[in-house]
Amino acid sequence: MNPQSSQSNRLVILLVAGLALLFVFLLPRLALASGAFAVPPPRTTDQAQIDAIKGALTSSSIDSTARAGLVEKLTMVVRIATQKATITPRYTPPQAGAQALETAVPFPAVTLEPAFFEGSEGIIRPSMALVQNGWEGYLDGRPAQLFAGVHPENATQGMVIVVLLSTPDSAREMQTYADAVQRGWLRLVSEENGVFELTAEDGSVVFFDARQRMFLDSRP
Amino acid sequence: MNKLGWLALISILLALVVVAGVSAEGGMFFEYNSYLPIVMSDITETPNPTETPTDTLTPTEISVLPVVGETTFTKTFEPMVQPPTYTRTATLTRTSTHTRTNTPTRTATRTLTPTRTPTITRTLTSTRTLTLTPTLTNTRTSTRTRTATVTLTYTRTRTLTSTATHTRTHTPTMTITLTPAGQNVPPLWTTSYYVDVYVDTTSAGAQTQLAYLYSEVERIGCEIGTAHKDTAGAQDSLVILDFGKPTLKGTTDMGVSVMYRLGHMSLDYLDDAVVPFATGYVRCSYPDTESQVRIGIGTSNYGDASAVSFAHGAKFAKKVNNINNWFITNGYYNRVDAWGASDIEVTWNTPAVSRDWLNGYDSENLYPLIHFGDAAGCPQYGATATLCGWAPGATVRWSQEDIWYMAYGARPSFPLPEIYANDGVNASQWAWMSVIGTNRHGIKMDFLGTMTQFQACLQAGGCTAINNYPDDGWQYLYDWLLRDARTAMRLRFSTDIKWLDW
Repeated sequence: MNPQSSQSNRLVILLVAGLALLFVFLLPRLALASGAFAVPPPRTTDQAQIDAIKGALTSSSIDSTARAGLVEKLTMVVRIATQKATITPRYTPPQAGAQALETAVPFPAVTLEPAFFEGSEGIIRPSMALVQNGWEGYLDGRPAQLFAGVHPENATQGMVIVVLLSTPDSAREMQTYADAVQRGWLRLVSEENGVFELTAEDGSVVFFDARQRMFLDSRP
Repeated sequence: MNKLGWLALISILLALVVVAGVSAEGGMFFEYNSYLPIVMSDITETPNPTETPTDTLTPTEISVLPVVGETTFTKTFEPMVQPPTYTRTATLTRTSTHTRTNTPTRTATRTLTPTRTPTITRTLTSTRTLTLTPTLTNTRTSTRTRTATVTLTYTRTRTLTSTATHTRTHTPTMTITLTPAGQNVPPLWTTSYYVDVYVDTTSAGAQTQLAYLYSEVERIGCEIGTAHKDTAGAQDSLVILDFGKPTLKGTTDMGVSVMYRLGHMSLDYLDDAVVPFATGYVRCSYPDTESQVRIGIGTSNYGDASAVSFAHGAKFAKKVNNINNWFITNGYYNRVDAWGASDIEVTWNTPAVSRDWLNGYDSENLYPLIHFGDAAGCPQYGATATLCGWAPGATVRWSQEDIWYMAYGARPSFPLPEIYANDGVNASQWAWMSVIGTNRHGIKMDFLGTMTQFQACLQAGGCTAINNYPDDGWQYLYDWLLRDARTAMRLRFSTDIKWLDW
């Protein structure tokens, strides 16, 4: 091989290497700049979730119910990420003297219609008590609620929950009282001067003085 | 150099310039793929022809259920999580208070040596004169010297009593700094709220009630904004604003209410009730312009079918859409967004009624739904049962499949489960549901995080065994999910709920 031929070979090798580098690095960027690919949005905090759903969708074992769910979830989180990435923030810091909403709005008075009702009306969560029924009215002039039921993890432990609602002058209070006798769930039957008659799951009758906050064996 | 040589040289220089540019941008190209937006046409939906939806596990499904502790199980699947790597730096500051009371009892015997032996010399001089008759004088003087030796021995005894009482009081203060380099570190938890302000938009006092509600919501938005401003770095949080059960006045006025049986805030006011949270948050977090908060606008499945209805779900979804539109239009959306949310409790309604509401939401939604309900009565990890608890008066129990569908299988749903029980049983139930979902449907549940009620329990005077601290609730679910490589995942959010009007 003569020296001139060897030099030409080296040049060819260098040319090929240079072109390879061009393909690897330059062309994708040119394509991006030309808009051939969508401009990638900035990374958002939802990106991990997007990646997770994309990954899940590649599974071959996924069924149609799950796939339909995933496709819609992906559509939503991608849209959210894109919207967040493209929005123009318009918030300007508050001017001196600007007032927030929270200033001096009076506490509205609550008006209740005294009554017994079934269930908890969604007021007491099942994790706190499985409520049989409730009562709403006034105790010493203050709006109040009582709930009777059973402990969610102990079906023999009856419970009463007393709620004194907020007023303009006082904050809400809430307290749970466990029946001293394990006789199953409790249920409110009647009320007289703040003393409630309850029946228990075992058929027995017990009273609860809402003012004194104590169970009684008989009506005082 | 010939033309070919110049061409090669130029090519190499161009390539080097490109390489240098890429390096200067921190490897932008290599991360590019993860930024690519999803093109929905790329996603092909392939129905599984063998799928036979059922509420009970088939023998085949049961046979592939993993058994906890079997070594063959963990080898079956590729690990999907990084090994936990995080740095825990603990600084222990110990303050100690000592009280010392001394009553000494000391016994000492002292013997003095040498013995003193003094010599006493006593000299007596006496003169005696005798006068006799006849006169005779006789004077006699005598001197008598007597020497005596006396030996003195001294012994001195002293008794002291000493009693020492030590009281040591330690007040250790431990500061643990966790560097969130791994996945197993709980995120900073937020406070979620039962928005229990009394509102009846059909009453004469509605305007006053709403004004108070808006101010309260703005206040808690400001509280969280202030917390984000005061915390280093950009925060990423989720807050549930639970407006309570669906309500219905008349035949068309759909609303929500927490804490009040006869309360009713028409859904027409839901936008106005949520927007102040965002304005309060952004205002009070300034100059932090990077932190974000996601609002879960919450309702529940409590109520009869006339209130918990398809129509209510559909209208609720429209309101969530509207609220996000407001955030977008007014430039808040990069900081605050809103998803629907529902506290779907097993004992609050039947699967059919609950599902009807969810289908309504799904008919109109542009944004996901956060399921922050329970899995009461569902089987714990490894159990073969498939049924969960009862709704009162229902003839059909909730199944594990029902809850899986409501929490994740349905198209809008993402789970944020209640992890309340101090023994971790809730986490066990949800983790097992994810395993069963993986076996049955081919995907694990994508949990957003956890909800606890530590603060609500404090407000209510205490709870028995259902008041996990937020970090503990998060850790329970994380650990239970980690038992199966297929379900293991990072949990993004941790939130703890309490009542607002307290």
